[in-house]
Amino acid sequence: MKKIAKEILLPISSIFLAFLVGAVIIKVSGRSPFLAYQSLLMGGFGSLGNLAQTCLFSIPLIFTGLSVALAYKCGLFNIGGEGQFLLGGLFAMAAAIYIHAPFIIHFPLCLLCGFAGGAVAGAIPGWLKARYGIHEVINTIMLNWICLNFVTYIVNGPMRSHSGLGTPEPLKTAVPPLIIPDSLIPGNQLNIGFIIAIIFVLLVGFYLSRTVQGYELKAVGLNPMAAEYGGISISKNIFLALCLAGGLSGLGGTFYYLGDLGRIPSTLSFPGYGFEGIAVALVGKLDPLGVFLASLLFGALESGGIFMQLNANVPKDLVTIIQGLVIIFVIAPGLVQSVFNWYRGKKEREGFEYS
Amino acid sequence: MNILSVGRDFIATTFRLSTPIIFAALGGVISERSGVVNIGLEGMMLLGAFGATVGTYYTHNPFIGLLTGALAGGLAAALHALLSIHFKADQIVSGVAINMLALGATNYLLLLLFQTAGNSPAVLTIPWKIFAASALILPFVLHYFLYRTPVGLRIRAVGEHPKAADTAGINVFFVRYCCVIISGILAGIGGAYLSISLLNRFTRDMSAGTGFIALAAVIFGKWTPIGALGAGLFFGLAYALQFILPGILPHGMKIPPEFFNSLPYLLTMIVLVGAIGKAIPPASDGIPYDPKESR
Repeated sequence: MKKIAKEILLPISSIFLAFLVGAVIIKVSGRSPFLAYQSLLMGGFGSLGNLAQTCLFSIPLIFTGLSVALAYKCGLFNIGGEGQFLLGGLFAMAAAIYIHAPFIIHFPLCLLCGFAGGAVAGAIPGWLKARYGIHEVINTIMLNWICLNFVTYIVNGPMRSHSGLGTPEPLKTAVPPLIIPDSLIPGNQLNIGFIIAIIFVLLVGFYLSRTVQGYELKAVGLNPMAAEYGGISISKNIFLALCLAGGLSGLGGTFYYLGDLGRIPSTLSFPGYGFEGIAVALVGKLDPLGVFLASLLFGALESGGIFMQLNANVPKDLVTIIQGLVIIFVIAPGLVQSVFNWYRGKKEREGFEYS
Repeated sequence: MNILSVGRDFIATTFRLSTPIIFAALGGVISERSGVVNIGLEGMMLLGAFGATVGTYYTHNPFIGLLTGALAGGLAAALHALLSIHFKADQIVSGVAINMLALGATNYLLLLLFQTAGNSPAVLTIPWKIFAASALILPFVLHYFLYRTPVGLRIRAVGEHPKAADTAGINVFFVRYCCVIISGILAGIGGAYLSISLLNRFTRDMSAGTGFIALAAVIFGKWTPIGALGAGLFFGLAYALQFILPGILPHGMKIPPEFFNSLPYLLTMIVLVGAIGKAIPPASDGIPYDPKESR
């Protein structure tokens, strides 16, 4: 129990500090931090509808967060979530538009294609790292942009719909069905992706902690030389880890474009989930369950941010600032420590003055 | 349209598009030469562009705007330096955080200061040729500085082998702090060029990947100032091509603009494989220096 408390102390205090700095920013902007955070909370969790929205926004984050965490376990930094997300979405969308089959075949096939699309974008830097030893960070960044350009080209060229808004809508048999009927929570869009995301949280957790393959992957991450000495192939595991990581991000894109948006829009930019996945993975301490909880928090920020802008007149971009701040605090435990030390010292100094 | 004016337009466009890449790439070179990876170039450019617009808007003097833009980039870099040098945080993640913060902060302030989510009001500008000329001269100055002066030698020593540099009496932390902050200032100037020279206003997410192209230029130019200049010009040329090709290509032939947009990234991946000569980063690039660690 004490160990768990120690483990989550840094993420919790980082989130706390990020919100504190956020409050200062709101205050300096001449708005009320209290009202802003109240609306943020209400928007994220205030009603069943908002809660459903939070869960919906957390789906892509769970996948990209798992993607970053899995790669990290193998000692790899997957910064290519954006590109894998886009390419996965494109593959899934192609399957959703051009293949005709009953739901029970069509929908799983779309997921498979989405996974494959992401895995392709992960396999390239994986292969380059395994074969040539080129740092995956550079190649994943480069691939983000190549994927963005490639998907933009396809969406505005071969896959362009007559409406000009982007790709056509996916066939009915490929759309992820809603979990909660509309009559229960009107207007909710929460689809089955949330349940599948939870299944993947469990799957990745099981894979990493209970299978031989997962053990090998972690061994390479912890100490590649020792792993190799023990008969574990470094290059095989590096390649595999980035393929799987890419596939996970690709699934995130699948649910985002098939479910949330219902098409890939023609004016395409980075959806941002790949980068937020890094934050989610770090806040979640690279643990699948942690990733899940962190995704819910970030999902709530996204769904509450819109509410906050309307209610408290605080631009919803504050959410991005808070997310960035959370990362900063999580990666610099020394910074968090010194902030708390400073606060404690200040209290003590004040105490001396009064006595 | 005669061939001469087409050629002149083409060269001008190349220089106009290369300039921001060169500035930010030079920043990347100096930071990475001292051993600190700077993925945050993109965010620093964005902040530079915004800082320049705000400075110009309130003072009606674009040269003060240039200063505020450089300052904004430098401040973001100071944060990156604090995190990655002092707190030994992961430099790549720190860069990602800087990019997120920059995007959030500029959009937040855009709405707060100008009540818009899109474009800031128009501001005064500086002629682009001033920037372009500096971008052509600066790499040679930096080259001389890095390879012909004692300070430059120290910077490179810190990036290659900080322990040895420390033993020789060089303050590793100080050198790295300075280099990272200069890197942010250069990226900030590159960003300022976008908003108060190339355009006359700030637009949402206006750096749009230029910082990442600069990162590619750092690698493509093999971590040298002259190389960064060459890479920057080459990438600018690739961009300029897409504006000029439709007029030159035979009727009906079309190369999608996305291909040209991808070219810098594709070429960088190819150069890393070693197809166009080996690209080797400074030995201690990306590794935080801990004086207590024996290496």
